[in-house]
Amino acid sequence: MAEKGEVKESGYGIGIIVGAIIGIVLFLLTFRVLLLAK
Amino acid sequence: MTEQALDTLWLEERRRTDRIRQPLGGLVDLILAFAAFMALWYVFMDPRAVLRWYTPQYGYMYIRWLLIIAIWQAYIFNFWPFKLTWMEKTHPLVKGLVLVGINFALTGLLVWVFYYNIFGKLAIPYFSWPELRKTGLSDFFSREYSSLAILMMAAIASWLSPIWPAAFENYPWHSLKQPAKGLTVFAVTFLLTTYAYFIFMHPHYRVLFYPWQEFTAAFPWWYEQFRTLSGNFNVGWIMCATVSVWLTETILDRYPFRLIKTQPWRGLAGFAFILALAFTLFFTFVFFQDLVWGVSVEGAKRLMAPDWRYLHTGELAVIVLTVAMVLYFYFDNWPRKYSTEVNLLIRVTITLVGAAILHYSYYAWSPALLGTQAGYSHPQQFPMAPVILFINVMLYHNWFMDGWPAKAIVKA
Amino acid sequence: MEKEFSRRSFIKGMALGTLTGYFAAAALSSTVFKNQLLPQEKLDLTDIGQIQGLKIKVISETSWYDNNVFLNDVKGAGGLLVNQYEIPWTCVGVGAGYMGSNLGGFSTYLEATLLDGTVKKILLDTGWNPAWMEKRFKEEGIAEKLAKKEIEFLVISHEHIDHFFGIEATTKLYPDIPMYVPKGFYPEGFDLLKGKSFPRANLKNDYPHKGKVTVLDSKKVNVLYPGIALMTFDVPIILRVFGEQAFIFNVKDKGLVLVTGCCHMGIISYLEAVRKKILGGEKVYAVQGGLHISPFEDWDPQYDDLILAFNKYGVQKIGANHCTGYITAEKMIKAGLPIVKGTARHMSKRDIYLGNGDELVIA
Repeated sequence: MAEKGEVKESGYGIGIIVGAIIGIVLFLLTFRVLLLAK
Repeated sequence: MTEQALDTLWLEERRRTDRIRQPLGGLVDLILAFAAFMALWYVFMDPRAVLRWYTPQYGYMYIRWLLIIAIWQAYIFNFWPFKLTWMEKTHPLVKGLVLVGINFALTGLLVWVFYYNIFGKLAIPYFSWPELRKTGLSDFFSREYSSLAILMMAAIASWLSPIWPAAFENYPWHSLKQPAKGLTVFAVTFLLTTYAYFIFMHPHYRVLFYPWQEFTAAFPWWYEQFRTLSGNFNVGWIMCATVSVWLTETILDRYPFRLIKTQPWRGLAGFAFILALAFTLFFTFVFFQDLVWGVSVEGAKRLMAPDWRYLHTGELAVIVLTVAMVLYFYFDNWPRKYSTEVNLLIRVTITLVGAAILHYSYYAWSPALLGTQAGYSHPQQFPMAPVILFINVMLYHNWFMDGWPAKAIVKA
Repeated sequence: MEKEFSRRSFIKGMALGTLTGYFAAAALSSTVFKNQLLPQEKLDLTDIGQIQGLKIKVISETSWYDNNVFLNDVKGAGGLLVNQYEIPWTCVGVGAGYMGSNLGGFSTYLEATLLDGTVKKILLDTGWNPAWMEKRFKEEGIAEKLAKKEIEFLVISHEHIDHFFGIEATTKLYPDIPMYVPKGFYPEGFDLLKGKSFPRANLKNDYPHKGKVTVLDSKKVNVLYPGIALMTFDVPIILRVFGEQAFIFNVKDKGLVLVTGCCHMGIISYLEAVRKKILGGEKVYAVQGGLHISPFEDWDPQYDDLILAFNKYGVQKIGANHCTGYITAEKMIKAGLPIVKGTARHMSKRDIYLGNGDELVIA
């Protein structure tokens, strides 16, 4: 596997942003599930 | 994976092979571990069975000390005084018998000799069941109160002791030989544990006795913000911190702080990361409980009590840890073939989903299997007790016995 | 080659971002945004009607006489999770006890005058030691009322030894008395009603119950008569018991009066439940009965939380007794809470709160 330094340059940053949005959405889903679990 | 490591544990260096192929091997091992746990629970803890120590603090105290002593045996002392060649060559069943035997014996010594008859007798009576009895307190509560104090020292030690080998790689004592290294790390971490105990748990004991012990213990300084005088507030986040240490050691591959190349910066970053994860877990679990059961009410009992909710975050965290440990020990910390970030995402997802399933299963089946009372919040129940006993069994199985019969050491 | 690297890095970044995003969202929503995200409190008020007045007579609040004997029975059997039907309760050789038995019992007699003038007579709980309960029933005139079937029904607050095991004292005099039990009763409870005995626990019922037993569900307000209601709580209790119900009386011009057996759900939780579910629930005038705080004269910082919070509810009369505990009473008095004093008669040890034979009248 290539060294981290090289790989980070292409697409990594965008990946983080997209991932963060997915993560937040997933958390809101968890939140919703818990509210329904009342 | 590990860059220039300052110090490694035998647990990291040993090479094992699958005697039974994965995932069947993992399943076989898991079932055996569960059976061993049920047997131990039946003999020692179950309120319907033999010794019935789950009162609950008394049995829970032993479970907690078994855990920290196992951590000291494997992580701090790296199995000293046993030679690493002995560890490599001896049959797992023999190792299990010997090391678990030592584990039980040391626990007994610590409770009965050190706490009941030295520290509790000559320093602070509430650490000793017989001493508390002398004050006129009932037999039952003398045992419960002293058990709580003793187990809390173990709980705090389970957080602070492993940080040294895990985050600091035993820096700056990494070049020492055992037992000097072990004794040093033990001494330093137990000193910190002692101070942490007195800051976080001792104020609970000011309020626990009637009248309040105003001269010997500080007022619970967290009361204004967190609406309870109970030390359960600290028990909660400390449990989350202990869980965070072990999540870091198992499914999280010590990431991301292991990217920092030099000590002590890596250790400090690790300590900070673990604490950040701990408080995230803590506040998130409090929030989740507020969502499902409504906001807690100051002065209430059971489900609605703020202090029980704080304690419960620890219980929820330990449930998460159990799943992570099963994945790590029995299923080779799957997956390992992708990049670290992707591995971590898959493992964390499995762990969280598994935790939800375990949570549901525990509360559905523990009355039948473990003899507990139904319900989430019962004054005499702590799911942490059976769950940590199961974790202890997993540690004996994987640390002391190399995960036999599914796995075996590859002899050099 | 370039494109491959890019996709791999993208996926790696996404994985890291997802993890960070999830946990950061969790951390922020549970701290910074917590108040905005928690749903608003919903009130679901029931009007239970009103009564003119209420008389509460403590028949017995002394469930056991020697704390150490009781706790040793429990400890010897394996702790507070053990099934109460299997613990060998000590009935002989206790100096401080009633005729050598450590067993007493809890029972309260209630007379509620409805707005139309009719008087409803209700028995709450039936104690533990039938011999003791028979004596107390005779001394307070309850035996006569039971024999004449003047008592409307027997309400069992919860299945505990000291509230329920003395059932034959009631069924001997009034075998078909209508009964209300809370949801959560175990099979052994119903078997006891039918006359089964449990020799290990020194428990028997020689007078099987022949009347109607109604199980009252939780999550709703059960109105028995205008101004008289019961609420059941799904609460896990020591000694393998589950569920407790308690009374709400709405006394005209005074406010709500809550009467409990042991209040295992917690008095603060009870006050909150009443506030959210009963019209007029923010004004609780009085509370009577066991509050289960320090029955074994043990303590926990959570109980200090309770005492500090109790002050905020503005209750005018606190007729706490039984499992409330003397330490609790002393602390409550020190905190300025209006504890109603008793007279320490009929084997009640201290006059610090309502004892056997004492009365609380709200008119």
